[in-house]
Amino acid sequence: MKKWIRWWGIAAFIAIILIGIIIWYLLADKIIANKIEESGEYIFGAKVEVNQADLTLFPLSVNVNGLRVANPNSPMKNLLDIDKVLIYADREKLLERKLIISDFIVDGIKLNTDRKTSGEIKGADSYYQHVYDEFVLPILDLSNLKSLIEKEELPSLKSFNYVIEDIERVKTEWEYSYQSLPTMDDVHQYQKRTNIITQDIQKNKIKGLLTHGSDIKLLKDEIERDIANLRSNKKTMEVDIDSLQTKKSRAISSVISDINNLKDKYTFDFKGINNFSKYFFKEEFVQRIGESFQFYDKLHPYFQVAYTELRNGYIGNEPILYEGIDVQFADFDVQPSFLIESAKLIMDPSYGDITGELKNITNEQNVTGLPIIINFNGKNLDFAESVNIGGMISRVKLDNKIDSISIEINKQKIKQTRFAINKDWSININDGLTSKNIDVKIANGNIKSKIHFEYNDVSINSDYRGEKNIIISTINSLLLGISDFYIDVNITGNIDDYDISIRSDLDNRINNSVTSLVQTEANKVKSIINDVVNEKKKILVQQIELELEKLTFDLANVEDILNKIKKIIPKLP
Amino acid sequence: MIRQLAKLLRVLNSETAPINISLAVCFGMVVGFTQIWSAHNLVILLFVLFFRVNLSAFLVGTIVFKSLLFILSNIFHQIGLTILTADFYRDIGTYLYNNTFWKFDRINNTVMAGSLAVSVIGFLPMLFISNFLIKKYRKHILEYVRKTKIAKVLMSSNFYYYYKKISRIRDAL
Repeated sequence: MKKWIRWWGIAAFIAIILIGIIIWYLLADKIIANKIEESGEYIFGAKVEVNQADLTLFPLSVNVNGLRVANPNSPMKNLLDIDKVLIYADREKLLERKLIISDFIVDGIKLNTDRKTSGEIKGADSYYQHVYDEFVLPILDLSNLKSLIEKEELPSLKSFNYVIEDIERVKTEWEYSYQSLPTMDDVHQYQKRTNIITQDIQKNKIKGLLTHGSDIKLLKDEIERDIANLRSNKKTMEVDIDSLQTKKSRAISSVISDINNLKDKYTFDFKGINNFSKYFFKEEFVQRIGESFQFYDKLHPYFQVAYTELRNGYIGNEPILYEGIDVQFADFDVQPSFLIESAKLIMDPSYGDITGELKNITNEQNVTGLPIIINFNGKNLDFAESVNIGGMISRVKLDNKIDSISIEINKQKIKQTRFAINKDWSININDGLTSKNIDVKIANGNIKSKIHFEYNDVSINSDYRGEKNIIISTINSLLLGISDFYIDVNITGNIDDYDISIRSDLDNRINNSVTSLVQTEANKVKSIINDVVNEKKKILVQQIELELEKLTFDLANVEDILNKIKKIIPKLP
Repeated sequence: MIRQLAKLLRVLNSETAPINISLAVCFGMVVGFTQIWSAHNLVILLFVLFFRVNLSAFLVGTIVFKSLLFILSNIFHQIGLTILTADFYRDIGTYLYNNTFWKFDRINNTVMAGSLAVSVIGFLPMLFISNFLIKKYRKHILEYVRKTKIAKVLMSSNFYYYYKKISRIRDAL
């Protein structure tokens, strides 16, 4: 037995364990900081930085100082900049691989702070960038418009040229066929030969018939062959002319489509004028909603990872930093493997007195039976009268995933805000107050929303750097006089495919003031487009018709020969 | 690694009982296939240190099987998933899931369960196979290996020289 045992092994084992524990404890702060950065970067797709993490074993707590999460959509900004995070965990539960955090205090939260270095991570998901509809500005220099349209390559004009090319091809084919067709001279020859035969037969009766028997047969064969040839060619010519006529008609029809396309391209956007707010507030809403849904898309799997359905009714979750799937079994001690019972959020004092709480944060809501609750409040703030945020993320039931957020900001002071309508034109809103009510509910992926912004006592001015434009001047002067307005935003569809409609009382006011101007402008543009395109069309159509007339004349000629040659046969005995 | 290979070569060529080397390889397989920092691997470490399991063979075995894990982890996941979600395993799984040792061991993880199952099931066959191969090696290949350049290089390396020196001191103690 003794030769199987080495007693120093126990000492070595204890030494290894002790050294391991000491090394781990010495490096624990660094390990924790690295884990936070690694996990955060995996989730957010942008740089996450921790200044310092400090682990205390009695009581078990982690103190994180200086946590910054970069904004993946704007890498030179921080999405979150947190002074201090204090985490108190249950030590006994940790031995069961359960991270139960009783207190989670996030203090000194700042949003959208500047970064010194880019927070971009190579290979991370691309930024969200909405592609906006182009807001078409009216062209007021009509002489310029005429030259622009003349330079346009129009499909209909190309079609006319194809018809002309076809006519040339047909003409060449016909000329080749003419060589094998009888001419009027041939007809006269046949008539002459027929007259000689018939006169001789009338004169010599049976003897004449016997003498010309073989001539009659030869003549008949020749005439019949020519008739067949003429008929076949006549049919081909008819088909050719018919086809060319059809192509000509199609080309003429496509002119209308070209004119309409040019009108769409060069006339002022009527839809834009009916819904000007869509262009006005696109960045404020469309881009931000897109970014928010991108974050939602990134984060929501972490609330429901426990619900990966496996076979035989099992469920499991994918651990963030480990391979495989953690399969869930019935737990005698009904507690999830990760739970933050309560997270207290305290905004940086520069925002005023805003505090909030997140409750029941876990990825195993099926175990807790409780949804994540979000609550955030602030009153008498520097930037607004009050802020109330409430929300819920419910994954308690697998077939009923409900997330909702309700944000109410009362009388927020407006900093100068620039809204770019296009590259030449932007509008600034200065001063005033805005009250925002945002209610968004996502039930099983389907979005329901009610977003209403009220602007009061604002001053609006614009910056337009393009060519002088009466419509833009009219809109700008109208906006100058507006101090109160509202915006309603509606999101419909599901999280992967949604539509955003932006409506405002500005729409009607702008529409009423510029509609007649836009109409007059549009009519002028349409008239120029019609003139230029029709002029080009006219020349080509005339050329085609002339050529078609020639072809029709040739066909009539062939018909004439055929008719005359057909009349010869009955005269033969 | 060269040092370990030299040691392994020496052990293979020495009078060390084949079972000591085979056991080391098998324990190396368990540790190498499963997650290093897991509870059961602490028990194995204690076992390996306490009993006269050859440490060089154990270390080389661990490294070799750990390298194989990168290729085999997906297969282990599938095996683990099959076992963990099998009807027969429900009660056992529930018991282990509620046992602190096994829960700490992440026994409910598919890769961990699959790799542990493969290494435990493969333990005895691997023991017999490696035992058989070591005996055959010593009988048929040992002389040839001793003459190869690589063996000479390994045997003559400084590591091996110092190792031999320390071994002699340890034996004297």
